[in-house]
Amino acid sequence: MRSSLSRRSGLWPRFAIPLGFLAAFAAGTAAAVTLPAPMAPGVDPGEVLLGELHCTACHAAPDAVVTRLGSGAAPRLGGDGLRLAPHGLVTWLANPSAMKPGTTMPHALQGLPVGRQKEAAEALAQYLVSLQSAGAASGVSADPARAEKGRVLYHTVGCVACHAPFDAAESGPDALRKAQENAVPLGDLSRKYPAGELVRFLRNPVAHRAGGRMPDLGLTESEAIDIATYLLRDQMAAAATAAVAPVPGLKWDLLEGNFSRCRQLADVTPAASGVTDQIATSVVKRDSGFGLRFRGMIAIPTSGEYGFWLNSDDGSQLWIDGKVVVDNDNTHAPQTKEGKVRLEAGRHAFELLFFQGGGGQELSLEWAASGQKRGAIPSSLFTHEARPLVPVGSGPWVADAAKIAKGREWFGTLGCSSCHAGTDVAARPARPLLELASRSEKGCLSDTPSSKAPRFDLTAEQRQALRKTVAKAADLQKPLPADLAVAGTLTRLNCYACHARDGLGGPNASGHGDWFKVVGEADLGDEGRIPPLLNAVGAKLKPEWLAKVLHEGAKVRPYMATRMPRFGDPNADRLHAALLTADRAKGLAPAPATSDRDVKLGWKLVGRDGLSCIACHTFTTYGSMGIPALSLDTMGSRLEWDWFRRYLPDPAALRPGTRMPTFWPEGHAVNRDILAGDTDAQIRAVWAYLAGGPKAEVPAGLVRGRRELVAHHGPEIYRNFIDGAGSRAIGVGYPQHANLAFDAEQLRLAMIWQGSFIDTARHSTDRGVGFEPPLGDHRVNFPKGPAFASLAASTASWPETVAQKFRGYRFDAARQPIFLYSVGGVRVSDAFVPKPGELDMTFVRTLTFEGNTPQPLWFRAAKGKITRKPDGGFVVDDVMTLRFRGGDAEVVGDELRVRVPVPGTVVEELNW
Amino acid sequence: MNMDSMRGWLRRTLLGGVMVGMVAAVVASPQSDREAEYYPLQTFPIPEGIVLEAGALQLLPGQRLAVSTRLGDIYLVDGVFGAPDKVTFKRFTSGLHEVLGLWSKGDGWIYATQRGEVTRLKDTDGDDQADVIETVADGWGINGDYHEYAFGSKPDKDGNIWVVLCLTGSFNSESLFRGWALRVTPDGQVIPTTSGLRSPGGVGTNYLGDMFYTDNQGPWNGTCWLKHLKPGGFVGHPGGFRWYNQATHLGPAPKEPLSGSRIAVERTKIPELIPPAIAFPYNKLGQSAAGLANDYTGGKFGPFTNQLFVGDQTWSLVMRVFLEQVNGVYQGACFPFREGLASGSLSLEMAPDGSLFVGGTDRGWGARGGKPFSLERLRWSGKNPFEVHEMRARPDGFELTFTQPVDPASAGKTDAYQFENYTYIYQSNYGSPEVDKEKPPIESATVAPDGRSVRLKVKLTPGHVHELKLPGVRSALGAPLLHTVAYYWLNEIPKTAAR
Repeated sequence: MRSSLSRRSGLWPRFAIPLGFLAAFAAGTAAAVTLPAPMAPGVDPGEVLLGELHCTACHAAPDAVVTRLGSGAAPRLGGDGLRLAPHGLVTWLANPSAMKPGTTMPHALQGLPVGRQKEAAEALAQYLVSLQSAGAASGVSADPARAEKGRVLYHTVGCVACHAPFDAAESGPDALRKAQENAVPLGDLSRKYPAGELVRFLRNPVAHRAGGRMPDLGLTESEAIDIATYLLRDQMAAAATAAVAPVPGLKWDLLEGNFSRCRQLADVTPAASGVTDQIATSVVKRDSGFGLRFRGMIAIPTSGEYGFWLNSDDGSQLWIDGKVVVDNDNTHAPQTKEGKVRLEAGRHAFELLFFQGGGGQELSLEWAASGQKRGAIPSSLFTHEARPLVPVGSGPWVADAAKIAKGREWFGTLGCSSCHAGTDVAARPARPLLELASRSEKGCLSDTPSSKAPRFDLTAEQRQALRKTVAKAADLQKPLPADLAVAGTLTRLNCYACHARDGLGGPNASGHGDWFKVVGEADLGDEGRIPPLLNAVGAKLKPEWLAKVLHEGAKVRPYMATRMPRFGDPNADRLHAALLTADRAKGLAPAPATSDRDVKLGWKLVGRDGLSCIACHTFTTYGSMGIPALSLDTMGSRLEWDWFRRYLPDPAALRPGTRMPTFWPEGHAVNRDILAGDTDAQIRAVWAYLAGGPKAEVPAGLVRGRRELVAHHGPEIYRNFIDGAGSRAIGVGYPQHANLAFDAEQLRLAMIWQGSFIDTARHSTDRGVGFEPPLGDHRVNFPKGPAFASLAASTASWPETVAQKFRGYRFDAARQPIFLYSVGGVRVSDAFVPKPGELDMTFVRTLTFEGNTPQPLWFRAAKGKITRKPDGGFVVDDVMTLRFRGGDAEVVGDELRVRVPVPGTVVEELNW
Repeated sequence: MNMDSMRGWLRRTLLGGVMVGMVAAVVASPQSDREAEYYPLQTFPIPEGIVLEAGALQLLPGQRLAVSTRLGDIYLVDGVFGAPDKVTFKRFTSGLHEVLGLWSKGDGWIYATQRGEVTRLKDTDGDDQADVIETVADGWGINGDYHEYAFGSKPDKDGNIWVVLCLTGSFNSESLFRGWALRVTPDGQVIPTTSGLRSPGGVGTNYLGDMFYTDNQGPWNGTCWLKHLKPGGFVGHPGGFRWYNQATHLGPAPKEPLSGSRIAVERTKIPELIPPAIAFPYNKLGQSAAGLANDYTGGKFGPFTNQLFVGDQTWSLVMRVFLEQVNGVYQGACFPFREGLASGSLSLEMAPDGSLFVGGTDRGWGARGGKPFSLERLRWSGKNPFEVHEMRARPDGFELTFTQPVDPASAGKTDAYQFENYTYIYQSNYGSPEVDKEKPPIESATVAPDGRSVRLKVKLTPGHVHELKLPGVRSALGAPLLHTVAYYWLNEIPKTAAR
């Protein structure tokens, strides 16, 4: 059978020539060779093709050649291979390049009559499916929210360094089109992959494709699900009619309202819903007045008694199989309640309810099986019922023993097992590579291959390149010079997509630069988003560190969204050896001997009283005083002295465009106090200090304490970003331990509190980022929006904006500020005098009005639960009592409004 | 020790000796020491407990300097023209919001630009503490993002204070008029004036009263610049275009620039685009351009009357700028001037006696000087440094004037000079490498009969930095230049040869 088949139809793979970056477009078209990935001068394209096409899988070659080519293995099949969608698999086998233009997978059935191609493809698929383990593929919910998260991840973590971006480019539509053209194709994933299998693949691509061309980005399970959902977004439409099935994660609902018991959540219509792997309040960003419901199933691994610990602020309840297991209901401060339940192995209905009134919010759930340690519940145990993603074109699939047997036969005949591991079918060797030297224009490399010869859809240039290399294949037994080994590997693994080396490559050169992002808002320029240059990297990094980066990925640049992936140990070892050989050819200056004194002086140089390296560089868990540049604690273990000593005096020479300034311009130390300004000695001292790594003494200036502003002799003013009082807040701390914050944007008293005034550390260290809340206690917040409005009727709705103007403040004799502003045509002066009681505090506030108002002017003094007291005072939210002299106070809904005399004066007493 | 190891030891020792000798030779004379001969620097000691992160400076009558701080204080420093260790500090006010602009005409009112407003302050009872703190104008937005700084100028010839507003971060304008320059009139009106700002570091006038500001490398800014704030103009970063709807007197927003293009190209397509006047080539002369001051002293600060002095925060130095107008557009050259300041040079104030006060801070942005904050005074020693005085574009090259007569033999040789030109990508991404580099030959170098100037014949390229090094030029007395490099940013080529 085997021989007759091959004789009759000459079934040799028809390669659709490769590989995104190596070129090649649709099979059969005479696409010109394009080489989007740069190739260093001296690298032989024929040799790269020879490796990428796995030629030596059929054409056996000496170990030295195989090693030099460094070609990886084709995808692993069999029991632990990926369980592709059977119908998609048939389509794929019937013509791989139609499904994924540019694939290295040959069109194995090309030589058959068209009618029999389908039959053979189906038999092969039957065989391959029969090898797979039976376990049901885990479903993935057709969740648009996950697809959206996946879209963001896909465009930031590094996928689009090689693959096509779909999001608009900052530089415009041309950039997007170019980047899409210049990308490794994804193919029609939606037909081929059940979502759960794509997740499996994304989680560990190198296990399935040892070649490492698809590297491992270190995605978490959740990230892999998000990206798979995005990549399989064409499966969404079909999901609408799919049967519900368990999919990962719990469903959450946001319920709005002021709740005080969990049962109140039951009848509320969700304001928002989603799926989460984490039971936490962070699924929504709300301060107060909401509830959360997490619902789904929990998969219990083994039968037994389980304890659950539910911590919350405010109330919460855990329900399993319709029964309350932990009851932590009611409004309260953080507290943990415990419950126990016997659960059989398998899935159980799970529901967790939570509500938040005001103030602090917390929610966490832990568990323990009997006799086990208490800990978090693995998120992989949670599922919920949803409509799962289903491969496009899928339908019933029935195993057929006859077809399976037939398929196994085809598999052997076609030589599939020469490339693919994972089956018990023997490889089918062809003529050894070194015997092809005189035949380099024959067989698969002939311009017009006979039906017996394999046919590659190579472009003329590619064919020519391969012929040249094959003709001298014996030369491939010599090891490649190290610099060419490095350059060839950077091309093959597409390292050039992210990194430039010696002027070649990098995201901007490949046109994918727009999609390299910085995490958050780290102000690091391109150094924050573009992966580092690889110029002489084998001599810059210590060998151990370089190995770590190549084997484990790199994590020293937490600000960089694009991740350094792992390409598998063989690739890592090969590149590591080549980089060391290539970049250390001239030897390195040995690190100098250093003393404890050097370490101490280095500490001084690095810190606040020296060169202030910490102005930009972080150290262990300490943020820098400015941008989050590379942590100082990693430098000692990463860098070679020989590089370091040349880098510090002139950083831009080794890293063009860097923001790192030198502190030794033209070799002269700017700091002449330490080590008498001796440049070499200073650099050596910094080196000595950095060698201490994370155990070195924390540089001076990074430990920031609280910097409380204390009003000793008179009031202290603090205009800044104050949490609760806006971006133009004016805080006033009084020596009587009363404090207020006035909002100079909305012209309102924003807050009052007692005790300590404010911590200025946030704004007086580093760049001063963010809003600082008050220190102290007994904080009362006043309603946002204008405090004064001119209304036709007392019950008119309160406006969101009014015409008003801040005019500043002046100080009274006790240096207490009197705020000045105008509302319409009325000029207001607003003075506060604190009067401490034994335990309580009072502000006597005098509001004076001048000018005219066309209709009555109203002052909104408070909002909330207002209770009128018999003595004429008003209690607000049970925490503060207000009294007025000179105005007419009125409760309108939940607002306390005071009609003020113009001209005239109102005295308000705020007691709390 | 056998003979072989003895030889090895000898070789190592000898080599070591040579290396030490070489290093010593290099270290012998740092640039700042050479500069100090002409421009000595005094550093004021700052009392314990005062954090003088000097955001702005203003001279007041009676040897008094007002210094505002990033933490919101204003200090009155007395005795600044006397011995540095005799100065005294008084806190005039505190609790303002990051004051980066100060001005007073000496009538008791001090105008301060805070993040959210221009404010004026006065001491009404003579105790050197502000009693009245009045809001003059607050017609712009502030949302709590730290990057939303506001720098205030001294008044222009019409009495307006110009406020230059950093974007919200590097790319966007989330609050009203972020990325704009506004004029605040003496009666508190706010006039939106120029768009396209990114991250100003200082603002001030040249000797003709035209307003300039420094902007920093980042999106749409390939390097740091000095830019002319022409009313109605757009200076490069389109992030603030959304506010044209609040500035209807200026008409519709300009056309968006094309990312990846060049300034010289986009200028031809966007009539509002005012090209930069000066490029401070990144990592060649500074990394973060900051405050500026004009030498109006008529010679008391040395030979550079009417030139501008600009601080660089990262490099802790002061640069010198010569500006000219060609075809109605500002352009010119910048030169290294004085390095070795104690902290990041942020605020500059020229005093009538020819003192240049420089305030420093390195908080949040590191600086070479290494001190967290500083107040210093640069003076002219009276010695005339041998420097390029002016560098003017001519139709076929440049005309250089010098502060001393040159030696015609050296300055007349073309190989006394090295020349190249380059530009930056005008793009929405951060910064830019130097691109489009050319090295046209200097065709001739002609020394004027009086030895005061040299005409260089060389190809000019609009929209490029023209980097000229003059290592071979000697003065008539045989001395080399104190600084041997000039960076001329050229927008326009003069049509006719003046002079």
